Amino acid sequence: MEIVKKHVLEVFSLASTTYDRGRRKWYTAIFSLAKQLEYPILDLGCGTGEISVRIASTGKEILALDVAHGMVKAAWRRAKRRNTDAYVNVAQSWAPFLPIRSEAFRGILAAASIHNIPCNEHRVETLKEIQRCLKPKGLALVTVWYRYTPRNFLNVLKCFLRLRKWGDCFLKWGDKGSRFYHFYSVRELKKDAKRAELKNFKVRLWSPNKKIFKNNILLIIKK
Amino acid sequence: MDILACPYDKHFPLELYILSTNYYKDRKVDVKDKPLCELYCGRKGLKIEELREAPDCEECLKTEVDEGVLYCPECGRWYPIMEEIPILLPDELRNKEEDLRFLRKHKDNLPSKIVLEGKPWSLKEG
Repeated sequence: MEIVKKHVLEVFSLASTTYDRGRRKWYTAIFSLAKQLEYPILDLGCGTGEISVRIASTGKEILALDVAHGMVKAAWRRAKRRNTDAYVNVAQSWAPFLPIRSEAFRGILAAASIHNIPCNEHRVETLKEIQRCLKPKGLALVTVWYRYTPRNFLNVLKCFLRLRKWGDCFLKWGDKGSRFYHFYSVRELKKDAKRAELKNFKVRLWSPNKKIFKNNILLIIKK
Repeated sequence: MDILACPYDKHFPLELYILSTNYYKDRKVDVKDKPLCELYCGRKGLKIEELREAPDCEECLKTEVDEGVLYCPECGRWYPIMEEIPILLPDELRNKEEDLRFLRKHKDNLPSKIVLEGKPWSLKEG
């Protein structure tokens, strides 16, 4: 948990004021993906809340969760600023320990968040939690960074030489410190989904814009 | 309150102790069907099937708990609500000093099961 504190919770909190820079295309792509989710919706790893607020502005109720206090505060400020605070709820929580009752949501979005969980057991536990919190016929969309793009693979290789753990990376983030990422392969994500006992799921490569090299993997979970 | 459960044992509903609230009279709310909540009305502290009359969901949506505590009667853990944000982290990720400061500030307005016996830490041991 020390790694979580230092390389996820604290570093993302510090980054909350500048996090949105250069992410407009990403937000648009994720929002477009999330349109298929029915409310109530859980935004797991909400960051500064841009997606939650966009979803809430369409009249859908959403719970935005993040482990970094700075991010949750930013999300709540944003919801108030954009007059969507009646539809947005926020809380600080850690994904493998979801503070949610079973079958509470029709839609769950975990965009670029599971790959920030340092321990594989906890990533699998998070997938189990997502399945538990989905209502029957619910839909969950999970995106993680894909290992085999030139840029990502270079990072993976560099970190492997240091850590001897395939896929785990600590990437420097200016003067804020370094953040943890686990870069997934399609095969590995499928394996984790099976270990989490997900029954109805699909995995495919995905990119927020038209790129030759897809840099994300999309996991679609149906219940 | 209709959604939140204990991160450990998933006990639902959690007990809510309100210390202060903020009221947003200009907040835009649109309640088509009452009750808005599916299983539990936090405002009344009752399960939906126990409600005898429709709750005031509009007022509920305009009110935020500024400071409070969520308590799990099953495991005895307490979780603070600070600046309108519930903090439901596992023990290892919690800030013990900040938690104890919060308990000391509100010890006169919270039950002893939280102040003196609450987990993961209380004023008795902390």
